Order: sequence, then C-alpha cells, then structure tokens
Amino acid sequence: MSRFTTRDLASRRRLLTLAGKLVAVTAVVPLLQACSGGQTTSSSAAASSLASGAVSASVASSTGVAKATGTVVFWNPTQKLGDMIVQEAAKAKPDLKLQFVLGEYDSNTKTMAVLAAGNPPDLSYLGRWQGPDLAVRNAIFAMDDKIKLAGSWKWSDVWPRLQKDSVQWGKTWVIPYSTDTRAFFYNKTLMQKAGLDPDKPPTTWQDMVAQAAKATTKDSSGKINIIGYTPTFGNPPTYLTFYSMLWVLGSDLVNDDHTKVTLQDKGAEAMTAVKGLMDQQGGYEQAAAFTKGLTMGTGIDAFSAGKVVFGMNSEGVFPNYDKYSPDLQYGIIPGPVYTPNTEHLNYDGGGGWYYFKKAKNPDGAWQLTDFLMGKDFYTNYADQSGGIPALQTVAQAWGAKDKRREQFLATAATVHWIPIVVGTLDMLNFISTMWDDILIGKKPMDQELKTAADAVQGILDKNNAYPPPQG
Amino acid sequence: MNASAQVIPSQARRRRAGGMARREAIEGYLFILPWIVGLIVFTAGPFLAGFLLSFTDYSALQAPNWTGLQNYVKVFHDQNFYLSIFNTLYYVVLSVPLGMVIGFGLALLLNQKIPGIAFFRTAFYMPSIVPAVPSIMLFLWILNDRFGLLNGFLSSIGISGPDWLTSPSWTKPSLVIWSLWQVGGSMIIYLAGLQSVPQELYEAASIDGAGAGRKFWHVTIPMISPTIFFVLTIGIISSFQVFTAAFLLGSGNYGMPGAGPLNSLLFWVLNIYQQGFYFYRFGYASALAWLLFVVIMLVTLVQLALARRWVYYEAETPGR
Amino acid sequence: MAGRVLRYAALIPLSVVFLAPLVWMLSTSLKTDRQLGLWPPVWIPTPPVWLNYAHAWTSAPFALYARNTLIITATAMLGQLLSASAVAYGFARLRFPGRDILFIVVLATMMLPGVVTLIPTYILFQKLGWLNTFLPLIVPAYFGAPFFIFLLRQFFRSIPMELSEAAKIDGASNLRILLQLILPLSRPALATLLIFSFTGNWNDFLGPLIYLNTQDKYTLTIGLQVFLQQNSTQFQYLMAISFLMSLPIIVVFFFAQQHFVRGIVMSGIKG
Repeated sequence: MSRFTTRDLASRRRLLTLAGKLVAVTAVVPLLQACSGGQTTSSSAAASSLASGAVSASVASSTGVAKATGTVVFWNPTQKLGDMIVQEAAKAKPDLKLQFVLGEYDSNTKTMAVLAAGNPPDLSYLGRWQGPDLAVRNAIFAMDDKIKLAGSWKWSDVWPRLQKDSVQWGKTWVIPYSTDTRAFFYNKTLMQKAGLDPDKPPTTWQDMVAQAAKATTKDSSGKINIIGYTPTFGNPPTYLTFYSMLWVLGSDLVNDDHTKVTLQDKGAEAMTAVKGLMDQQGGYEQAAAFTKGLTMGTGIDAFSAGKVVFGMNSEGVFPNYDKYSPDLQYGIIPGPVYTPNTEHLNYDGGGGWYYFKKAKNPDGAWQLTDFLMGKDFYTNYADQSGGIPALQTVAQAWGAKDKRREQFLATAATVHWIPIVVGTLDMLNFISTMWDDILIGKKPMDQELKTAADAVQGILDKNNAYPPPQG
Repeated sequence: MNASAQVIPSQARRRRAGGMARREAIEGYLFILPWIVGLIVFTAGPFLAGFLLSFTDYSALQAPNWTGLQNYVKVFHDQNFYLSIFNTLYYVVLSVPLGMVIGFGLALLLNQKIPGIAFFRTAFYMPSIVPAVPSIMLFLWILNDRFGLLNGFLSSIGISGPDWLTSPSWTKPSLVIWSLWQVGGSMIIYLAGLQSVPQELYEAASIDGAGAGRKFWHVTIPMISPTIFFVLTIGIISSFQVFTAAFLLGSGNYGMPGAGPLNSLLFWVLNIYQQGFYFYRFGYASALAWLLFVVIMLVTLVQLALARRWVYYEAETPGR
Repeated sequence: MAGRVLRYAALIPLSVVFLAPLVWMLSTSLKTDRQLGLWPPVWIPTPPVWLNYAHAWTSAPFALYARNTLIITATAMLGQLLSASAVAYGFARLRFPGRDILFIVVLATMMLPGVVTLIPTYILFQKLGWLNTFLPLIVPAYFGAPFFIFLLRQFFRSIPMELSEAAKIDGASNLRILLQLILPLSRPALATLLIFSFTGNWNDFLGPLIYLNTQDKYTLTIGLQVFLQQNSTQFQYLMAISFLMSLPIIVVFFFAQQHFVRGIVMSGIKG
C-alpha cells in the first residue's frame, strides 16, 4: 500500500488541489449567499450542496429560526421583558404565535451575524441610533405605510421630537418605544453638612458650580473626600456631557437638518464651563479617579455611597436607590439651566423596534407592534423596563404613578439627543477623543474643537451623500 | 546504476526501512486526520472568507464590493492603528514575562504533597472560573484610587498609589494586574509539567552530588522546557489578542467597548471589534485582523526557531 | 520544617487574594438589598440570606439549563480528549512529510482573532442547518482544538522514544502505544486538559448566545441573563447562580488535580 512514490506525489498534489477547491467552495459559497442576500440562485444552491454534501449530511435549506407557519420572532435584550411580552400577548392575542429570542442592546454581534446570514428576526428592539446605518445598508423596512394602519395607537401620540428622530430621508425607520431624560439628584444630608440649604438645591449651572465647590471636601493630604458634582459620575457619562452643555447654552452639535456642524459656536464656552467646574473641585483627573470603581451597579454607586453631593442620572436609577439605600436622603429636580438660557441640563436615550427586510413574517410583526403599543400592556412594560414610554398618553399615565417620575417627565418634551445619522457612533468617538484630549491630555482647546468639528462635518457629508434608501 | 542482478542487502534494508517509514507516515496522517478534516470543514472556509473580505468594503449587511488594497492603505494612514500597536505591544511585553514568572513561582510553591495543598491549588485557580461580572466589580473597587484596597495597602507602606483606572499611564498596568489574577491557568500547566519529571532523575542527580540549585537548573528546567515553551507561545498568541478585558476598564457608551482615557486601552483586537461591529467596516476590520495574524505568525516563527536551542524533548532523537 | 512554614506563610496571604472574587460572589449572594447598598461594602452579610438561593433557582428553569450545559460540556470534553490525544500523538511521536509545517498551521489557526471569523462561521453553521442546536458547540470539539493539541503534543514529546520502540518490538501498534503507554504516562497533562475543557465549555457565553435561540436550549450562562435588566439587576440572584455554577468546576478541579501525581517510574530506561 505504497502511497508516497513520485507517482503518488502527483496524486498527493491532486489531493491538495481538491482540498483547496473544497476550501474555496466552502468559503466562497457563504460569500455568494451573503452577496445575494440569502436568496439562493439555482447555481449557488448547487454549489452549496456540492460543498456541504461533501462535508456533512444535512444541508437544511431553511434559514434557521422562523418557520413559515406564521410565528413572529422578536428580539429583546432583556429576558424578563421578552418573557413578559410572550405571556401577556398570549392572553390578549392568542392567535398570534410568538417566539422570543434573547437579543442585545449594547453589542451588535448577534444582530450582524443574523443579518449577514440572512435570517434576522421579524422585529428587534435596538437602540434608536441604529436607524440610518441599518437603513442605508438595506437591512430594514421604512414603516410609514404600516404606521397609517396602526390600530391601537397613533403616530401623532409619539413625542414630536421622537417623531423627528425616527425620520431620515423623509421615511420612518424605527417605532420608538422608550426614551429617557436626566434629572438632577441632590444629597440632602451632604448639603446640610456643607452648610447649604437642602430644600433649596441649585437650579442654575452657575449656582450649582458654587454649591458644588462649597460642598467638596478634601482630606489632610489634599485628596477628595466628597465631591460636589462631576460628569465622571452618573449619566450622561463623561464626554456626553459636552452635548448636554451645548444644549443648555442654546446650541447643538449640528444644525437642524444635519448638514452643518455647529459645535464650534458654543464649544469653547461649554468646555470652559466644565473645566471651570472641575478645577474648583480638585481637577478632572482627581474627580475621575475618585468616582471610578464606586459604581457597583444601577443604584449602587458613588451617590448612594454618600461620596457625591450632586449628580445627573436617568429615571431608571431612583427605584434602585430606594431599593438598596432606603436611608439615603435625596431629592430630584430637573437639571439646572445656564442663565440666561432656559433649557434644563438633560440627555435622551432609549430604544425602539426595527423591522428587518429579510424576515419571514412582517405582517405578524406589525400585529405584535399593535399589541406592544396598546396602552394597557405598554404601561405595564414601562413599569418593568424603567424607561419613559414613547407615546405621550402612556407616558402621562406612567408619570402619574410616582411624583418623582414627574420630575423626569417634565422635560420629556424638550430633551435633546445625539444627532442620528449614518456613522453616529463614529461621531461619538470623535467627541470622546476631543473631551479626553482637552481635560486629560491638556491639549489646546481651540485646536481640539476644530479637529472634532471637521471630523463631524465629514461624517455629516458622508451621511448626506447617501441616496435615500428604499425602505 | 548498480548491477541489477545483485540483491544488495543494504537496498533491501533501505526498502524495509523505507517501508516502515511509509507506514509510519501513513499512520501519522491518519492520527492527525481529525484535525485536517476539521480544518477543511470548520476553519479554512471562515479563514479564507476573512482574508478575502479584507479586500472588500463588506459591512456584513450587504454584498461585499471589491476594493483591492484600499483597506490596507487606509490602515497605514490610521493614527489609531499605530496607537493600537503600541498599546498591544506594551501589554504583551509586560504581561507575558510577569505571568510566566508568577505562574511558575506559584506552581513551584504548590508542587508538594503537603496538607491542604489541594485547597491552595484550587484557590489560585478560582479567579479563572468566576464569571466576569463579579470579578470586574470587585477588581474596579480594589483599584479605585481613593477607596480601593490596593492604594490603601500601598499607602500603609508609605507609597502613594497612582490613579490605576483613570490615568492614561496606568490603565494598561491595571489590565496587567487583572491578567495576573488569572494566572491560575498557566500555573496548572506548569504544575502538570513539574509533576511529569521522573523522580529518578532527581535521585540520580542526588547521587551525583547535586544540590537543590543544580537540580533545579539541570533537571527541572530542561525537563519542563516543553511546558515553558507552551506557556510562552500561548501567552504571546493570546496577549497579542487582548481585548475583552478592555471592556472592564474602558467606559463603554452605546455598547461600544470603550478604549479608556486617551485611548490608552485601544488594543489591536479592540480596534478590530469596534471597526467591524460598531462602525460596520468589516472589510477594514478583516484587513486589521490579517495584519495582526502576520505579526503573531512572525513572532511565533522566531519563537519556534529559537526553541531549537533551549527546549528539550525526550522524544527527540536525531532525525526526529 | 522551616521550609514548610515559609511555604504556608507565602501561600496563605496569596490564596486570600485569589479567593477574593469567589468570596465576593458568595458574600453578595447572601445579602439583603439594604446590605448591598452599604458603603463601604461589607464582606460578611449578617444575617446571610440563604433564601436568595431558593428564589434565584426558581426564577428561571435552571435545572433545564444545567442539564443542557452538562450535555454540551460532557460531550465536548469527550471530543476534545479523544481528538487532541490522537492528533497530538501524530505530531509528537510519528514522522511524516510536512509534519512541522502542519504543526505551524495548527498554531496559525489560533492567531486570527475570532471576531473576524465569527460571522463566516455563523453562516457556515447556518448552511449546515445547525442553528438552534447544540451541534456548533459540540462537533468542532471532535476535530482537535489547537490549544489542546499543542498542550498534549508538548507532553507526549517529553516521553522517551525508547519506550515506544520497546513496545513496537513487542508488536504493539501505534494505537495501542497511545492508549496503553502514552496516555497512562500523561495523567497530569490529561487532567489539565479536562480542567480547561470543562471550564471553557461550562462558562462559554458567546457560543450559546449566538447559536441557541429557544429557551429550551439555553445554557446556564444564558440563563443568567434573566437577572439582568437594563435598570435593575438582581445582583444577589445573579451571584447566587454564578456561585452555584462555580461549584461543579471546583469539583472537577479537585478531582482532576489528584492526578497531578509525581513519579513517572521508568526503570530500566536510562542505563
């Protein structure tokens, strides 16, 4: 059984070539499939079965999750909420077959994998910033036609600014489902200790800076003991405070129709204000070092530990303060304004439902949406999820249940958010770099602002160069 | 060339030897066949796909378009790329030697049948199995500049500890400290290696009059050099790909794993992950990945070449 | 004697440092909400709320998840043991053309970051129809994981060739040599493989997240997600289940490390 004579070197070469071909087919076929976006032409299907026939028994032609029996597959990043949707929908819409798959919110791994493979869910709850990126890459439907058919709800009931955020190129790409605001938390005990009136928390930025400076205490070696207010704690985190500052100064990162960058208008004033605040309390780096590592989770953080006097945070936090630190004496009011402007310090967030093009059951997806937007279920869901409902009427009902919710609801109509464009995350990256460079790297402010502005303009230009997606 | 009528004994021997070699070669291929099949079925395809995609503008959501070497050109003009190389090398150079020395030291400590040794061995392995969430929580607290245990301990011996988690100069060392917590894995491997050294060799060395030091350098080290080589090679391959740990120290926003203050934790693979999964630049990410592959491969090849000098395999006779 | 005291003097403080995460996990799992919010954090909750474990366990079908995880882990472990042993034997003790190049290829497959092959691999498994099954998590284990091949190869290559040759003269085949000579002599290495394999499969999160879609298939790591809500994580329950999850690994480790037994007796070889 001699196999390695020179004669068989040739056959070995043939073996290697066959292996190479096998590899090529096994590799190329998925690419072809991805190319044609999951719709198999007869030739690539043949190629596919040639390769897989050689390597495995079952080549299922089904593309995975949803069968053609009308099951609606939906993703939600929170197990409990997904379960809740399935249970409640079973009672209200027993004819609707649902399958819940644990999704993701803070990562894109699973989403991109299924989109690349061509078997996405019918609808998925994702962050509301994802729309344009998904739209220009032909992954999602535009929902305007469906919205006109909405049964249990009205588009006009959605917060107007959310309506605006969801529309690009004149089409609606996401059904917003939750939004956030930020409010100002103040520790009454610490205020008292600092000689401040706990019933008169600061309502203006200037006031806040003064009180924060007064309330900051250091130990004998000059290290911070208690800090007044620092953007390194709370929400919006660090560099996103830049956005918040622009808004309270009456400006924004970009203009209304996302064609021109405007951060350079008030950028220097914003960063100077932040720098001034931080320098009065011991410097940005010390503050960052002070608060980092103290947040063990939502509601178990530097504020509940009594190390921070003032903090901005979202509406999801205070139920946890109640839960974990019931003795904490604190109050909540809307964020400070920057006199002479009237905009409260604030920040938005939240997610919504996206409808994927290659999904199996778009009609079922819309039926589910009808159920999700229904007032009864929606109020229930909002109670559990800790976000502000996107429908104003539901949000009012949500707010009425707790006075502190009202503090967050009060600014829900006017809160701003990051510009939602293609490359939103890219944009955030540039602002983050700028922020670090100015506050940590001590680089010259004007130059950093200019670099960031140019980069943002570049992203806007790229965004506007895209032809309107089909939807 | 020779008179074909004569049956030359050496030829017959060579044929028999050749036959044995052939048989051994066939068996060799048979034994590694599972790996070869797995390579063809599961690995080669995705690898090749990743390679080809680096020449495209693939976004994972749409069909790729060929862009040739554009991605690679872009890489070399990217400031972040050079930063990521620096950060990665810094981490490799710091974490690999430290991890090896400490892991080996622990293994030596645990290489005895003293009461309670099972408990201690288990204790050192624990951080490697505890899920990330509680470990990270604890770790961040320990490293907090103001209230953390590490700086508390340092100040008790008169050293003013740095801002481990927030100073751009100290975030990488913090990550190295985190990696040292996970040293239990390499400790076990060293332990297995130490336990595989035959007792008789030590006895023979004793008879020859060798003391503990000589026994260590002339019996232990050579005999476990294959193990050391394993830990070194794996250590390099994996530390070049450091990335998940950066989740813990960077401040993520919108899920994007943060790269730390002043991008001090922007590692090569983190950059790949960001580019691919958050900026939809999959083709570019693939190019970055393949460049990393080339670097790791070169380093490993150098390792393999050097290994001939210091790694001792019992089974290696001339020609094997 | 003094050596022993020194040894313990070093081991005890070190083990405190290394045991901290485990203790932290246990400690958090036994706290009430209020104790969770205390600053500075306490290490010993008084009184410990053992009921948290009961509540945690009933929050989701963890028995089912445990069963799934066990099936996947055990089957994959077996595969890794079998395939790595065979392949490592080939590379370590047999000669064949291209062996060293192929071994470099083995190493090479570990050098490309997984993030890049994630999507093509997912597509591959989708084409095979293996989505929402355990197959993507088990089958590749039967084809030789490079880490384990490399590990065993180093150990196998440390066993003198004379032993194999003696066995060959006695008429043993390579398979017999592997099973009856090499493997018994490699107990520490195999124990190491078992530990790593068990830990890796038991704690795997990304694989199950991507390939398992319906709740009946979830593993323990996915099951933990039930405690994570965007705004209110149930820490105690999360830690309780995490702690329970660590126990089997500790058991496996304890069992396996017994095989770190010194003394490969190879009388009659050297001289």
